Amino acid sequence: MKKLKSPGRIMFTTIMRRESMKKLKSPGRIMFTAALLLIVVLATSVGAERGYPLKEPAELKIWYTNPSGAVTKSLGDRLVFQEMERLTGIKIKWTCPSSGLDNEQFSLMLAARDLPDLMGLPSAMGGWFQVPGGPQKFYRDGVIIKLNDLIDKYAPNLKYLLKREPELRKQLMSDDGSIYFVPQMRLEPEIRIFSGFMIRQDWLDKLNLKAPVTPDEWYNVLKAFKTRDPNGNGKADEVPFGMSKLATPFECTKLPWMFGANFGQWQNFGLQQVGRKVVFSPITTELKEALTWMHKLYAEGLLDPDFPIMERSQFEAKVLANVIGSCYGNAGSGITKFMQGMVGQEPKSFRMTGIPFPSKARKKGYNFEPGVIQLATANGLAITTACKNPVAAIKFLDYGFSKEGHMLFNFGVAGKTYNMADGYPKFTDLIMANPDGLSASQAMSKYINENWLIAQDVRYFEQYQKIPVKGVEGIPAWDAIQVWTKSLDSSRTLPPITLTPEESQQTAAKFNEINTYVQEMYFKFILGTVKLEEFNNYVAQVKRMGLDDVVKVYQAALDRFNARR
Amino acid sequence: MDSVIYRKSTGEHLFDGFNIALLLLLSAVTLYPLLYVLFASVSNPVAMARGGPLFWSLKGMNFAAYQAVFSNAMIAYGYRNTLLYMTLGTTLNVLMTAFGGYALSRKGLPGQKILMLAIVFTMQFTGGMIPSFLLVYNIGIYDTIWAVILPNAIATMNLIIMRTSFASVPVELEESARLDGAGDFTILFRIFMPISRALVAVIIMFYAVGHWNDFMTGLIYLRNRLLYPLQLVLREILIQENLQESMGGITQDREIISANIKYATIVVATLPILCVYPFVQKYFVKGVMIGSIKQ
Amino acid sequence: MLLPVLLYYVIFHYGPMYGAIIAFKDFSPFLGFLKSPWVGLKHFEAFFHSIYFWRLIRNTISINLLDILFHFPAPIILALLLNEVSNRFFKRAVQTITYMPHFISVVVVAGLIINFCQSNGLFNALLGLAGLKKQTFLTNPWFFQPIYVASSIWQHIGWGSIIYLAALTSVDLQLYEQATVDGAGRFKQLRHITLPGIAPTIIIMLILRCGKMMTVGFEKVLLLYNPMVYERADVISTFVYRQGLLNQDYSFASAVGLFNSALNFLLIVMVNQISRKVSDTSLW
Repeated sequence: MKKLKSPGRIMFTTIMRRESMKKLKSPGRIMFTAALLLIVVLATSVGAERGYPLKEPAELKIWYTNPSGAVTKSLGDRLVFQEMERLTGIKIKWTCPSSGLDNEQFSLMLAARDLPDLMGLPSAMGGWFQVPGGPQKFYRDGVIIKLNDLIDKYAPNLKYLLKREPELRKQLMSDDGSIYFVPQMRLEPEIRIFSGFMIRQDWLDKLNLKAPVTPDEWYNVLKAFKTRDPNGNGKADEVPFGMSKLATPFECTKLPWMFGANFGQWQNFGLQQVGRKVVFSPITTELKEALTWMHKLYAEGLLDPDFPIMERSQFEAKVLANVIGSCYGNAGSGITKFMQGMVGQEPKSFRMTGIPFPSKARKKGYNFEPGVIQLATANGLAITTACKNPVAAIKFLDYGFSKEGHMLFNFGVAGKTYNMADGYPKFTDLIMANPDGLSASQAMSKYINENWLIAQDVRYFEQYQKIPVKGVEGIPAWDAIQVWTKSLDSSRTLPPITLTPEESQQTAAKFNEINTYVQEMYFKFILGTVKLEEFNNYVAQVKRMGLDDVVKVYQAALDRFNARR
Repeated sequence: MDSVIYRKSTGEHLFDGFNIALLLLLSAVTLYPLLYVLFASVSNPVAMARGGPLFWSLKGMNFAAYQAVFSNAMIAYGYRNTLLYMTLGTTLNVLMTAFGGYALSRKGLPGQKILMLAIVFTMQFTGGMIPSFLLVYNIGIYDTIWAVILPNAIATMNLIIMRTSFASVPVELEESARLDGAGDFTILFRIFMPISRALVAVIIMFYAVGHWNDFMTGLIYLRNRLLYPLQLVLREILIQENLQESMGGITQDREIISANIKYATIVVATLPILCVYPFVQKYFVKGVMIGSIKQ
Repeated sequence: MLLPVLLYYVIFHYGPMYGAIIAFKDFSPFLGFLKSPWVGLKHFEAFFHSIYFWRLIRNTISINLLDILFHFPAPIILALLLNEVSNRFFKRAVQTITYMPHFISVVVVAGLIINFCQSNGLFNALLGLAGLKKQTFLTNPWFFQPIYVASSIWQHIGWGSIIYLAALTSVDLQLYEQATVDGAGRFKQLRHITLPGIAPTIIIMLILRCGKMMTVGFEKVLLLYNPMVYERADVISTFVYRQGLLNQDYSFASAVGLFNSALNFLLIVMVNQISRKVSDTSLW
């Protein structure tokens, strides 16, 4: 009976009280009751399974950094959210500051205790996993609430997904099993790959070379690029492998991957896992190998002498100036952008293709991008303590994972933004060849919600990456992603572990110093300012700076992660 | 130097020549990057990237970036708001600064040292963004024009400059004015301000430019987009363009002008204020004012 | 008349000053100033105990000293040179051109500098013309501070000269006339009339400048530096920024800021005292 909403109950009792009913003998009455019950249950349970629109319309306030560019000022302007309001009966009041302006506004919002019902994190905090102290800190400070019960009772779609995907559950929950936010999900492997190594295919063809896999092969190819003048201008001005400075998209920290070592500023700070042990890669022999190799490259002019200061725009300029032979970058903002930039320019044969991740042992190559193993991304919404209607809030969040919501957010409105062709949702021209002159990604940000609050669909991703580019043959971005997906090994990438607020504060100072020192030495070794014979002294220094304490803390966090069920 | 005619020595001629050459060099060195920004806002970035002399990149000039910037609906609001903040704000600024500079420069002022110390103290020590925000929030001016104007009503550096200038005005002027029965306000506006006309012009300009460039106060104290000053609007445009770029957005011609937009926003933000200086320059004519006071 | 001014300072400056207290707490914006836990000198100690503490202080101060030595006098010299120019049009043109870079954002300026400093960039091209060896400007720690200061001079010399140009107009013309009659040449006039005339302005600006000794804005350094030059480029503000990436700590940043402010204030008081003894001009 509790399943029936009040009107149902009233109706039932009213009927039962009618005089005519009293005339039926007991078995009849029972049967009638049963039939009525069945009907009512059916009627409401069909709605309960879908659950939308909500019986009582709700209004929610949401704070979320505006993810798109200039096209829509707020998520609420997008067609799909307007549709969603209609379909779910939930009205949303959006506050969408633009990225770059959101950090201050976030702190101020907290300081003024002016919380919305649902909130995301500003861009500078990096996401719910990376924010220092993790979501637990926000919970402890009384900003957000735990979601476990709500999901269990009111979010059937989420509940189902969490049950079906244990890795997702493991990543999403915190060490004590609590769930604090609902993430954007990327369940299929291809959706998680955005970047990899790429090379000038036309140069390889011209010089009759195959794409390199091992360090030796790489060396030979790079050497050939430098000595055999593939850009044909008579000058040895080629930069066989191009890189840009730290914290830029094409940064110079990827080559060590082929030796199993990782080094980085933003991502994992050089931490990896071997087996279940946390290893700080910058002091391993693997990195020493990598540095020795890179120093050789540098000394022979195979790397750009300016790479430590190279900015992103200058790097891209060099690619377009027909000088860079290979690099590490994104499919979209790398490969496609370069191909597009070269349309109508010399050389007409310009072709940048993705090549497999390199590996010393000719197996799959190591990939240390954290996003590759994150089924639950760090973007998502949490429900705040100021929310008066958490049930409506969780139902809103759950909607994106329902069948209807999934299609709505990923593809938009049937007939308008997509059409089903043989069971495959194909984007219409409104998106792919927008009559107002918007690019595909801009059209998407105007009409659909391809990135946020949902599980991204492979078919969306596929079409996005396969968007034909004017003047460019084939679909190099998609091909690259396929190549990369098949050739990567992410077994050593650290999963999204979280440090407790105390741990975070404890280690921050020491780790900052260690990283400062390690970064300096990385460049000095490669450039040869410090000889590689000094490597052991460098390791000793790092240890003296308290590395072991830091690693211990991260190990504890990893152990807690692995213990999650 | 015009009122007395005399002959310049060879040494002085040499100096003049050297001086002019130096200034020309400085201008050239300064001009190049400015031209670069200007050209970058209309040229194809690929052409610019490929290097070569600056002027070659003007081939295929396009004003699409400017179109994009100006077609943004918020730009009109941005200009309007900034102009409003600038005029209202600068007036308030100059008045307050003049009051403070005058009062604090009077020798007889009790506790002058302590007051100055306390004021200079605020130059170094600040409570930070959040307390200031809470203050504005709690006194009810949040998200209004006053939030942009009041918290920075006085720039202490300008106050100090004005005070120093007023302190060096000859005492006789003030004394004779008082003998004539003039009160403080009259003395300030009728005597001190005109004497320091060049300085006042400079301070007006400092404040005006400060308002023009300011985006921080808007960022913290405003929520209503329609109140955003120009700099904030431009910043949004810039960020959104960068975001589009870095998201791996496969764009078409839009990609090209993305780079242009970065420079176009700089030109749009800077050009108007450059026109202000010529008006101020006419106050930098030597000694014209001093002479007239000696009556 | 003084009242509104004092009110302003009390309300808008002293009012929020309690915020400095977060240097002594573990501040969380939501918990607020009262409820955030008190930790005493923990953040200060953390800062002082850092291995890089002395390096950061040294770099911060040396950049500022270099700046005062070279950047501070530059606008004054420019103002004096412009003062000697008799052609009004030329004078105005130079003024207008030189003060424009002040308005270009530091991001663009940094981009230009990096461009020029590349191995095949403008600076090396010029060196080549002069027959000198190519340099790796931005990866050599010793070049960093000079490049930083030189670019500051270039960017702000025009704008900085404005205040001195204004001061020059207040020097009594008749003094020049008398001097010329007495037979003094331009340089004598410069030394005995002009310089003393604008001395108060110069001194005030210098005192104020000293009040920024512990402060180096982090944005420009961040854009220009890289790990190769940390040795001379890493300043207090950039180090704190990198630590913020690891652990968003309002309190730590605030503690460091408080420390800087205290030193700055002390310095400004000292310099002001000296100035009072040595000249007639001082802040109070």
